[in-house]
Amino acid sequence: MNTTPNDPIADWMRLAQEPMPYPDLEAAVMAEIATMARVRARRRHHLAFAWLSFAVGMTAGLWVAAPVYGNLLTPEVGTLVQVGVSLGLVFGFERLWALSRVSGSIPHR
Amino acid sequence: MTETWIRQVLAGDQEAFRHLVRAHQDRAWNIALSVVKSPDRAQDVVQTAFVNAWLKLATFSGRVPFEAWFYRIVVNVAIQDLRKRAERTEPLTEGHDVAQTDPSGDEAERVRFALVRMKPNEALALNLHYLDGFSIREITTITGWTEANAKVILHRARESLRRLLHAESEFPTP
Repeated sequence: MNTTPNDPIADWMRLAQEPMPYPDLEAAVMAEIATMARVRARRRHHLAFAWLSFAVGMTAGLWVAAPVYGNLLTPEVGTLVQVGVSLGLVFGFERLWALSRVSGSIPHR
Repeated sequence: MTETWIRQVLAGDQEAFRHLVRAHQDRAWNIALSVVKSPDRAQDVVQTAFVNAWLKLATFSGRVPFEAWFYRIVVNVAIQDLRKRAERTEPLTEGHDVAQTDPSGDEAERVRFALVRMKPNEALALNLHYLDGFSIREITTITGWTEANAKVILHRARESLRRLLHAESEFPTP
């Protein structure tokens, strides 16, 4: 610190310093952090389910298509693949929609 | 100790953040108060700054001390608060806040009254330098000012404080 021991400004500033008069601030901060931690956890949860839904849908489609890979372009197989992928997309987007609702609920003071 | 608490928070121990709040809330509040001039607003600023710090803690690299990193967040939030008030054309120093400080009171009250009447950047510079013991270089890290600018603001702040304290009466130096 570049102040001298007899610096009147330093003395005045020390004199003016006051303790924070809000004893509940710590509790308020911790409560807000706990809320945000819960929101973060829910977002992670929804995001994980979204990816899982996509993965299941895609895998289901490929699994159905794999045995008849050579005939992948036949209408029946194509329909099955489409159904599998569509289910994955529907569930995935449903989770993403839920995620967006959670994001929107992050408290802003 | 601070580094330990930070590591614990980053490892998922939310309660460890309580130690950081306890250790820094008083200084953060004084810094915020020097900028926003209102005890209630300073409380809001500090609370928002702590939450922001918690959210961004993973980005803390440790290249600067935690205090400097955190007080920069406090200063930024306080400046945002000032800007919001300016947009709403609210006066910088609200009547009830200034009135809480009695200029005819004891020496400490007189100094507080002078600090309330000072420009936010000057009061901030005095706070950081004299109360928190930050060097000019550290003040530039916290405020984003250039080194020359910080020196000028600190010089003007000293002059302002002297002028304000001597203007009202022959206020004896402690």
